[in-house]
Amino acid sequence: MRHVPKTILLLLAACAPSQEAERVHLEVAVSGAALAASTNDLGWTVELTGARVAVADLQFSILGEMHGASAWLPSWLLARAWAHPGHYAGGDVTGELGGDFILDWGGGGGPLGAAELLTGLYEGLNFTFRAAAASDGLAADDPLLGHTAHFTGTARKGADALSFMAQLDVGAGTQMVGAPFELEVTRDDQATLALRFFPGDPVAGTSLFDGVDFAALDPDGDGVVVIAPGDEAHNIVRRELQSHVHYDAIAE
Amino acid sequence: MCTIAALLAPGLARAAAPGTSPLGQVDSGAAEGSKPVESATDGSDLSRHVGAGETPVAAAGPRLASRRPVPRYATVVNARRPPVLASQRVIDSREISVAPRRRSADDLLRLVPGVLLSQHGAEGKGQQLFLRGFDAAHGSDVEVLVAGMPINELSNIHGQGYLDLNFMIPEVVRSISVSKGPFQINQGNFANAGTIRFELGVDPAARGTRVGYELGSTIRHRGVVVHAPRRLHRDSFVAFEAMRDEGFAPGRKAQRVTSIGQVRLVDSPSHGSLDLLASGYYARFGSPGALAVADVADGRVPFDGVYQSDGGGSSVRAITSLRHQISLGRGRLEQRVYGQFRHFDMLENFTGYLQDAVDGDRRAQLHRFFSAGYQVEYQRPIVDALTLTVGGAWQGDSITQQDRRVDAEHGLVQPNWDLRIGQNQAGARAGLRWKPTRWLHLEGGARVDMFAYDVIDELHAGERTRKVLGRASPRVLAAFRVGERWSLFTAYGRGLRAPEARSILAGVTTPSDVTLDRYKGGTPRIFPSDAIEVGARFTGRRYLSAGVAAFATWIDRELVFDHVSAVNLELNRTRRLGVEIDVAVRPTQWLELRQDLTLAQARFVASGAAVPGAPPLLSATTLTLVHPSGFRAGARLQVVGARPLPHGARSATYALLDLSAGYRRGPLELGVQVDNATNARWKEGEYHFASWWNRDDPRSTLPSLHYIAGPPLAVRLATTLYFM
Repeated sequence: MRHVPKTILLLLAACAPSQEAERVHLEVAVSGAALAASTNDLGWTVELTGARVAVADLQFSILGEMHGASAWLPSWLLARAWAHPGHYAGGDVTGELGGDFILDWGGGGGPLGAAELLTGLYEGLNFTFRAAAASDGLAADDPLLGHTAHFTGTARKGADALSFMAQLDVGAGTQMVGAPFELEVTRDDQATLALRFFPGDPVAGTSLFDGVDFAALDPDGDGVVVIAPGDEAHNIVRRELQSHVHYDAIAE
Repeated sequence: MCTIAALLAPGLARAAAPGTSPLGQVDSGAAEGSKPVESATDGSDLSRHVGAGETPVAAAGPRLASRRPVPRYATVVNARRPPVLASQRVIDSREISVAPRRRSADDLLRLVPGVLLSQHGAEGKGQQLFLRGFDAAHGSDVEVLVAGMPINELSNIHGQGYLDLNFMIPEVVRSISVSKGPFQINQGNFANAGTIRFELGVDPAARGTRVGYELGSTIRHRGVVVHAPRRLHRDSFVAFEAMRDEGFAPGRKAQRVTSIGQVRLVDSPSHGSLDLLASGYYARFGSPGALAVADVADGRVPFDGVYQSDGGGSSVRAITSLRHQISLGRGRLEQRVYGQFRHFDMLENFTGYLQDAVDGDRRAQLHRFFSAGYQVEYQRPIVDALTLTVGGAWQGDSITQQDRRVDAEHGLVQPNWDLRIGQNQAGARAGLRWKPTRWLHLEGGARVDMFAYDVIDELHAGERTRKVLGRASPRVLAAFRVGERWSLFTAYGRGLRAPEARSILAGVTTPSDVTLDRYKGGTPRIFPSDAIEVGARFTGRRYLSAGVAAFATWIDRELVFDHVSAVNLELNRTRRLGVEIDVAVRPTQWLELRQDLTLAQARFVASGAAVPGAPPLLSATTLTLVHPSGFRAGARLQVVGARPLPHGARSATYALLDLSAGYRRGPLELGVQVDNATNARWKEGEYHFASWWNRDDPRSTLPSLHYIAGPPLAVRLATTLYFM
């Protein structure tokens, strides 16, 4: 019996502290490697020479233990982070690179910064569209200034070849959610995460410019097409731009 | 149910009206609450104790018991029906009366072996429960009944299965019966981890009138009056309670007033018995919210501080119930009709400004309902060894519920939910209990549960959605007596959890600003759990009893409704394995030392990842001393192992020591309770989620550790005057 107090004290002293989830920092860069020509549903083959999109706050998400049959397109992931604590949380945004960025796939890409990620099996990439500003380091006459995206390139169909420029506006706060990012991030990872843009959906074979008849957008026949806010073609491309199928992130 | 008379004179008990002892007041706590009179001849595991201030007269034989009225200080013989499950347990009024940390009836759940409670707010707010590898949140996997009435709120706006037991007064809780796992047909919705039944009443030794006052170190005042005339039945009493507590830190204020009464209106051999229960309850409570560990480490907020001081809510409940029990030939009928009004409102903010950088993420919730219900059960021996049980239940709820994001002045920023709900729950069950020999007990049967929802979404032009769901659940168990002291048990059962009403809107009401590729979630459905249990129990003649139970539960695709994104999340297959061990040593009749140990491992089957929240180790060492001299004491050392949290984080382990002592002499009893006697600095709740409180810092959506501080050392002094 004389050992009982000592045992109790040992038990009381045996309290182990809480343990935070493991975190790693991985460099994130823009990669233009996937900027290949794509053919839209009207037969126009589009080759991009410039592709810039203004975004904010890259997020990397896990699905956790979501059942496989339903685990896809997790736009609810961010919302789960706000759920009542203590209730079960299966999937979450567990990686991020905060800040404003111009994703310049046509310019050859470049580093964006170091993202902070909890270790785990990642499945998704999200970001938020925004309007580019002078604080992004853009010149006063930069056509992206005040807009979300700027594309330049050539559209060809048979003997027709039209150069085009597209300025796109996406509502502030609109999110692109669920782009593929399949990577098991471990404590010792030192990979660089490459953000890629696919003008054509590599799986379904669709194009960013599906539904756009470039010839119809060149009524004066000068061989130059401009797609700008207010145009019907703008709205078609804008909707497609928000789809997750045109982006991914891979480890390099 | 065995009575003292049944023990001493079985023939007398069989002749008496069901549920009524020939001695009127000396019925004991039974393993299954208000169940039919059970032959006492098989009750070999009788426990006997002497209540405070009682004079041992246990040696008195049948003749004495049947001739004399119960004396003022009587021996109370608790005869318990032999357990039919390895983990079955009854906590009687003696154990309850000396339990430390007995602030409210909610706290009595701590007495259930294997249960871990975590309080997010102050007294009055329902607590988070953990049992058998389940994080039952506010009650979604633990079924609780009070005086036979289901208390889990299927569609509470704050949490599915929400449990608030503070409307009970601890002094009138006669027993707590625990059946872990879903192995018996009278266990309904939410019983995946088990069923806990509270029976109300005042045992003979404590009957009379008592007035108590409690003063606590947290500037706590609590007064209680219990009036339980000795001439009335054990279940008859009226009690009042008023409490105000400033709390140990900001956000922990609590106050409540409670009244509850139960009276036997009719007690007739021809018409049976009729018991009326009525209760009224009002409480206000604070809600401190959770603190980011990093903020506390940086000194931005104290260990037990708050970010915002306006969190809290109120809780109201009014209940009335009529229970009728009657013998019909060899059978016995029990039926109950009840009604309830409930109001719950709450303001909380766990995430700061993460969602709204300007107005903040305060959420105001309102939940209000009226409900009515009816239960019936009929038991009849078909032959001597075979008993048929059939039963049914219905409950209808009319609910209004709102969830809104509000600003610092509590003005509306964004409505999240505004629903009117009609909800019906109905179930039927049938089973057989067979005792072919003295050493074998078999039970088997099935229940069918149906749920009908009719939800009107006021935020979407009154859009109406209806859904009817149903599921059958088989249950079977076997208990083997091996000699006089040993019993072996095995059981299989299918549990169920029905979806809350909001979840039937999931995938139906898609917000207009959501892109078409948004995940719509799973279809609302009742998901089953399959559980097995095997175990053994040794019941010594006097000094020692011990038991071991191994359990396993599988859930194929658990459905969790995420009330923020409004989708039904389907989770991968899980399994929970564990073992429970209990040892009770009684060196004397007035002293018991008990050790309960629960080890549980909850995993997702495919990945092997831990199910977040479930504690892998729970240990409770309990000392219960009730001396005939009038001295009583209790001590409880609880050790909680590190819980896995989402994303690979882990909670802290902790150990808590709670003490109580009291002395009664004549009409006066003095008591003291010491919570957290070592003044351990501990985290009662720990979570892993994202928050953003300091807007000067960059906004981050990364989850991080948060916690709610547990109470430090607290002392409560109590005095009670008895008028017998």
